[in-house]
Amino acid sequence: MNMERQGYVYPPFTVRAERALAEKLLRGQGAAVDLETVPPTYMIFLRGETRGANLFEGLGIHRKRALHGGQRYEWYEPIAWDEELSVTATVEKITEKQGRSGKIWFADVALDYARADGTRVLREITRLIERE
Amino acid sequence: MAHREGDRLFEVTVPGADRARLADFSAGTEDPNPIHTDEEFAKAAGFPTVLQQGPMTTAHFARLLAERVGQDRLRWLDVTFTAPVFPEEDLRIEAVVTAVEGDAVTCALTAAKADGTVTAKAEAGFGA
Repeated sequence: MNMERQGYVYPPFTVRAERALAEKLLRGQGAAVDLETVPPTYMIFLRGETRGANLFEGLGIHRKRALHGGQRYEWYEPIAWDEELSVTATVEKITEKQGRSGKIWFADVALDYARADGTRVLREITRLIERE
Repeated sequence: MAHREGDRLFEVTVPGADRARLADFSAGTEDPNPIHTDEEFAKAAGFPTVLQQGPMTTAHFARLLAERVGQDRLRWLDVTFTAPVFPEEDLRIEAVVTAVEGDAVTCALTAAKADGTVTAKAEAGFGA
């Protein structure tokens, strides 16, 4: 884990609420493909990987040693289909602990999703883990 | 609808996802991590087979909550993944109200395998 990344703010990237991706997500869940029921966790940090905010690469996390520790969502306003949002990812905290079989690193990354006028509609925090 | 501490919001079993569903979920979330789709990669990472995505459990929690209380009332959801989930493993998901303060309701959620292994714990808040 690149400990020096703590506090780093990625350049904002843009995501759009796409129906086609939401349909795949619903199929993956085993749910009926009804866009009215797409879980509000549809927006997810992973969308940044091809849009300039590849957290694994930036934090130096090798995928074979990576675990996903958790997620937090805070919803402020609904997101409409085809709406474009600006997303700013911030590496809030990186900690190192000694586990039973080696070191473990924890990184909390916050992603703030905002409309063009600056209104924040969503905050997502993802907790990434790397095992030694 | 008024909620009270101790109210069970839901208790459902979500059928296990097969590999095709894991691939769909990865596509739907734009997740390039091969640990969800590539058996050899998952084994090299120390697991017996591919892993179900943690965010799929988060999505189950959020969808079930939205069905029960209404998506427009959801305020926050905080999930901790505690054990890996493998293909075809059913998850028992439940949510219980833990606090009601004015217009704010808090509930605790868990996802567990058939053998009782808890794979995720969460708290969520929604408007009364």
